[in-house]
Amino acid sequence: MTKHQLNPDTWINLYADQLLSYALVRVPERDVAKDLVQDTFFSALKSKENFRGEISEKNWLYLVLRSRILDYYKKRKEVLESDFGTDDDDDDSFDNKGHWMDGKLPKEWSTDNIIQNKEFMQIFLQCKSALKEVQAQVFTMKYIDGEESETICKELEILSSNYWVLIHRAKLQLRSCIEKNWFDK
Amino acid sequence: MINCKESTRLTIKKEENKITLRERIELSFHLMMCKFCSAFNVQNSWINGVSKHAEAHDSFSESEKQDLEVRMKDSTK
Repeated sequence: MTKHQLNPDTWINLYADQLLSYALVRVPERDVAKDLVQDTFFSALKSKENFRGEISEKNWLYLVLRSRILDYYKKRKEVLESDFGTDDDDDDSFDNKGHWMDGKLPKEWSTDNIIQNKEFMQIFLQCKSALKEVQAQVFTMKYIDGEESETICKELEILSSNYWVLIHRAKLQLRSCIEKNWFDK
Repeated sequence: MINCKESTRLTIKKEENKITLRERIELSFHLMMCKFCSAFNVQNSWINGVSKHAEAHDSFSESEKQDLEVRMKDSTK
């Protein structure tokens, strides 16, 4: 089997943009994504002695970036504890009897051929960024990266009751934002 | 009978098979009678599918790249 090699001189030209785009889907702002890519290159350089050539350079850099993103989530989660909310507060989707509020009633969507649409994808990501940060984090881990809820609770050190409130709220807000900014237009 | 808030909560929990048989039955009942929650149910699954395809297209500007190159060189000194 051929061993993969590292060529740090080529990293910026070959991978910086791809890594930036990958990070942008997962963190709220471009500046944060940019810093994470930079950190990825720094820590990859520092640990390049540990690279055993079993996976490609590109896949290895993605792994480093994924671990940087997880570290970022953990660090942010410490300061976001107050955004957890409970099932009852800060809920503008339902009235106090649990019925849909008038402006939030789901309408019919015509969803043909949308997934490939780049403009739609931008709206989707904007709506995700508009969520409270900790909601966006659990949403990203669960639905974009496909992690199990148990893994997410363990990594972020949150209770499963918190997790379900966050996901429920995230889904309601995201659905409503997509409807308003795409299907109603 | 469950209300709409509860029905949307169960719709999401059902994805991970985290609901009881009774909850499943109550949810099915509610969805048959409520066109709004039924729409939510369909759209929620659709959003899950879209999320798997989420992608952005961005790039570093030339000056950002040069800046990054300088910093990488510095970091190894």
